Amino acid sequence: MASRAVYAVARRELRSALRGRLIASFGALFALLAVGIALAGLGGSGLVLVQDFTRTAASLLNLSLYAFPLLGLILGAAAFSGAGGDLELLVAQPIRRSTVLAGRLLGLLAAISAVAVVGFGAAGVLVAVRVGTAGLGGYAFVAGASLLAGAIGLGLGALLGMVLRGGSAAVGWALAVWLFFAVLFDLALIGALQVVGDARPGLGVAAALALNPIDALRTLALVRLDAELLLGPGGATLFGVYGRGAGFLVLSAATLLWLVGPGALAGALFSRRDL
Amino acid sequence: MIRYARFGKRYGRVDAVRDLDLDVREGEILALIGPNGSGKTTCLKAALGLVRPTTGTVTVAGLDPFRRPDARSRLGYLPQRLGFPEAASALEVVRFHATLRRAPAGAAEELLERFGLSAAAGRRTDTFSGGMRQRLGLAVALLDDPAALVLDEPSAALDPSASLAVRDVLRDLGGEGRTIVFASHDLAEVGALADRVAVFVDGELRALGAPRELAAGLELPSRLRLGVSGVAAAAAEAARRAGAASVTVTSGVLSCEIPPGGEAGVVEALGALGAPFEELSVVEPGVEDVYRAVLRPAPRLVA
Repeated sequence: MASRAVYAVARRELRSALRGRLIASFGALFALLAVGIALAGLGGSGLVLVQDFTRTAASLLNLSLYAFPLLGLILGAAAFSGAGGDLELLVAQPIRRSTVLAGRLLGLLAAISAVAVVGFGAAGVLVAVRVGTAGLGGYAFVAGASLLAGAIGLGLGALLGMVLRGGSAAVGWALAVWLFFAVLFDLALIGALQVVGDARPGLGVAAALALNPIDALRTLALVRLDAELLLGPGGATLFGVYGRGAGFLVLSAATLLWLVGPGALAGALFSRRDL
Repeated sequence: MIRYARFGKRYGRVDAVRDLDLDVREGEILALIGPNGSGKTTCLKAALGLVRPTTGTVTVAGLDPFRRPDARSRLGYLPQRLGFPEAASALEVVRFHATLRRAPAGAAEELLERFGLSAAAGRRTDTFSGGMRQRLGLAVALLDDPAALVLDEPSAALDPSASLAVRDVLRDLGGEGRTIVFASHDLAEVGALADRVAVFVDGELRALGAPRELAAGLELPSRLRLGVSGVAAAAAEAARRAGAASVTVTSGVLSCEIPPGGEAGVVEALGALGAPFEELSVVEPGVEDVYRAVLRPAPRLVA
């Protein structure tokens, strides 16, 4: 029964999200930008050319690693802060709270996946038809990393929703958390480097990558795309000094922790939270 | 059916409910009344496992509803703020909950029919009027035929027609022998429906019982009105002498309050005047009088 109920809740959540304005507008905008980025290559004669998969993936990376965590944060915060008012009715049904949590998160993750499939799919089809499939693996990696970023955002958003009961407060804090990881974290890191004044950043800066899931995923994707020249000082140190294998291991482990940690914490809070 | 034993709930530094002992009896309609913030909603939510007791216990058929989903299968719930998923149709909403409650096939359609929503089954719920949403909420609450209904202000924010329609539905459901516990600010609704009333003030149960029992226990007066044209002064004096209080005569109509058991004496004293009186009415104290009396500083009374 539990798996049937999880499926029912997830399907309902997915359907509701797909009908909502947020996913529709976000999906359309992301698909438009993805196709635009794929078309952004310029030929020698000034004609617009379609980029190959590797260039498209590298160009899309920043956009998608900012966009998907934002989407996840907002969806998670709204779903668990009580905004909309149907959470109470759902939890009052004869199902476990863990069923509600799992169903909601899976349904929302499916909605985020739909946005990724439409955006990356539209651009991918264009690139495959016009240029060929060389570099498709790296492109798929970026798509997967974006989805992971969305899932991490979802877990963090759910956690915020548990802690902050009001819907608008939770969504407001979700935006603040996104701003911190997307912008302020790197600014703080650059500021710290200026203060330290060290031309060769040490292990501390490299380790700081693990504290920011967006940076960790961006670094992993750039290395997967063989675009190490685009790495920041932390990524360059981590992979330059400790090697590709160790770098991948550290950042993958950090990403996994970011994926599981907030979701698990949210689950623990939800199991005892008053509604 | 639902039992609160020394139940208390604290939010931060605020005691929402203190030391509540209450049994909701099988088949009764129990109304929870009291000012905003007096603990009514917390009590209802505790029965559904939506809030955890800080002290004491709450059980449904002997089971803890916070830990045992099967306890919640015995209850249908209509929340105060009823929300449905964005853009979902009425049929989708009821079918979804039917799946969660393992209701028999066709239950969703039957309930929509019962609440007059069949024609609107395919319509998005965000286009529904307040009354339609409440009826849809009641349809969801009745899935899988629960033994008891827990309703939080079922007619709040409804227009008079919708409010009366909801009242009729609740009366029918009560007539089926279903246990109903509901919170309400509508004292006319409470008076029309409730077998027993629980009055909450500042998180405490201040009074519990049938309205008539409570009125008797509180020694609330009845109200008498009588047409006394031509003998107004004599009638007023006779009523006073027979024990009536707050005696007034306005436009030939005498109004007064009569203490419990004094009705016959006052009517007899007035009758002794031998005047042709008109339109005699004696109104017994109701839920509103009980509520007013309990909210005044008064001794705790549990009938």
